[in-house]
Amino acid sequence: MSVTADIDIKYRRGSFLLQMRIAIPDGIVGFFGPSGSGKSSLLKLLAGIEQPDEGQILVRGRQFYNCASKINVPVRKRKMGLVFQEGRLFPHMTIRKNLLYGYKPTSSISFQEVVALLEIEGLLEKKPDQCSGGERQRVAIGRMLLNSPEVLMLDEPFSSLDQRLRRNIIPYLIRIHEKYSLPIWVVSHDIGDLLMLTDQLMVIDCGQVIGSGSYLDLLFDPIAGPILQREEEINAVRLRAQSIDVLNGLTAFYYYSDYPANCLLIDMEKQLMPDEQIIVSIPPQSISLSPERVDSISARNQLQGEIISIKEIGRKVFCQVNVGFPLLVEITCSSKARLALKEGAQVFCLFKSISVKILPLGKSLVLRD
Amino acid sequence: MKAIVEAFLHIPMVMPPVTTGYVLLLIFGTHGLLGHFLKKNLGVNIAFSFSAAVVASIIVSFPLAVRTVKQAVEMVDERLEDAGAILGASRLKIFFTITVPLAFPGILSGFLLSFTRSLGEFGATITFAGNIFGETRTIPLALFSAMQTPGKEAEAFRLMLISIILSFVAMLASELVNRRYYKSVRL
Repeated sequence: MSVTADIDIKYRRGSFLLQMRIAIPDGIVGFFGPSGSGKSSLLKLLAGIEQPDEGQILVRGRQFYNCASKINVPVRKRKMGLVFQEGRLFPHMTIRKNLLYGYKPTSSISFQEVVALLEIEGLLEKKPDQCSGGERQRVAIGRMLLNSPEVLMLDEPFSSLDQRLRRNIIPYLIRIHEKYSLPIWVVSHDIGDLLMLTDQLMVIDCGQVIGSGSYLDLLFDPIAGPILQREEEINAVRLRAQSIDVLNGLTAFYYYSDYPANCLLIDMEKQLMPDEQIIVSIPPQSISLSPERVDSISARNQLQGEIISIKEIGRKVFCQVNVGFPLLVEITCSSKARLALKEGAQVFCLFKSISVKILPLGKSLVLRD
Repeated sequence: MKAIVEAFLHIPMVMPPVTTGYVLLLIFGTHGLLGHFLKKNLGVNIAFSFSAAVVASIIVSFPLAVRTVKQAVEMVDERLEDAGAILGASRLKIFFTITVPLAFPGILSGFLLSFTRSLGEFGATITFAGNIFGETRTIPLALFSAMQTPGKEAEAFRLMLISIILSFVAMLASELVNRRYYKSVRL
């Protein structure tokens, strides 16, 4: 995996010490940790708003900071696209002027393209205080994109938005990443939101990176695991439709996997098309396991798969089942014993359609021009 | 050092205006350091002229404007200036496109306040510019003169009314722009 940034820094403010030595991989990376763990400070240090006490920062081959060589590239020359939690739009300018603030005509990203991508055509002549929280967030992202940043960094992009709007921003971010191959680093203390965006995580606690990798690997890690286990466990996976059917009023979503019969039965108003992508979110607590298909049951989803691992956290038992994608299932110790579940066994994962949360990403997202 | 410069700039605001006028007279008077030079080389005489009234008003009221403008600029949310820097703007661009427009109502309010203060200037003007009818007689000087002259009570009353109205209008305008200012700097 290629690396976007190499960071080795030490930063102390009062009793808070941030000490990190990390290599941030390419793609979308989520920084997760409790409040006050140093996630936002890390982004500010990378952007240059704050100065480390020692160490070095290397991003996409450019040295931004090196204490020993006395290199410290000023904020305005770093092109680290930090989008703040509150958007920080300039209140005295229209949305159009905000968007064009850091725009250079030589930029590889055009104004019209960004406006269309983020669906903000109707806001251009408005002032920031006339826009909703979600609209302001999109404009702040658009303004940063037009500055052609090396990396797009988002500090708690979901927390200033209400529940209905917060996940609306996710498809836009995935669209940006796919269209411009731009590394995106997102800081959040909400693991559910982060996982809908990416599976590549860095777990931060007390100013240190205590683990990096996929959610399922980190969840059972002896160091990073306890931080992730404080939150509700969640399955979040991005799937592409191989084919779409309608069964008894439900959408049958067939995805690419080793189990051709596996399909998600979901209740969606919008008609999906083959090749469209969706993000599926299912709580592990809502899934049951059965050694065989069960016909006389209300749960409509029955995905066949193989148990990859069985792990215990306290009194909880988690089975990781490969149903074409890794699915985390929470069962009790007694169920594990009663069903004699073992790694390598074939099982069916049963869950209701209403337990599945779907975030459509649209077809335009898969276009790469 | 910064504190010393600031204290020096703000002296005229708290010093007795007559003292300010006397200092100005010592500098710009015909035998003063600068006054002698100006008279000899450029033939310009500042003391006891219209220019003297203007200089006295500016010296006394300007620190008030400086103080208000400084506060207005400092009140602009630094986070917006950081956002500008992240977007690649230079300090100069940030100052003129973010700081000044957002602080503008505060700046305007500062100058209005300073203007109102200068309208009431008395001590420094009478010491440095005198009380010359048609040339250096400002409203407070005219009011004082009218009060001293028997039979000019009506004129004094009119001048008093003009003074009150001008001060009220200036303060009202300052208050209104100040309100807009606090609204504008709110993120």
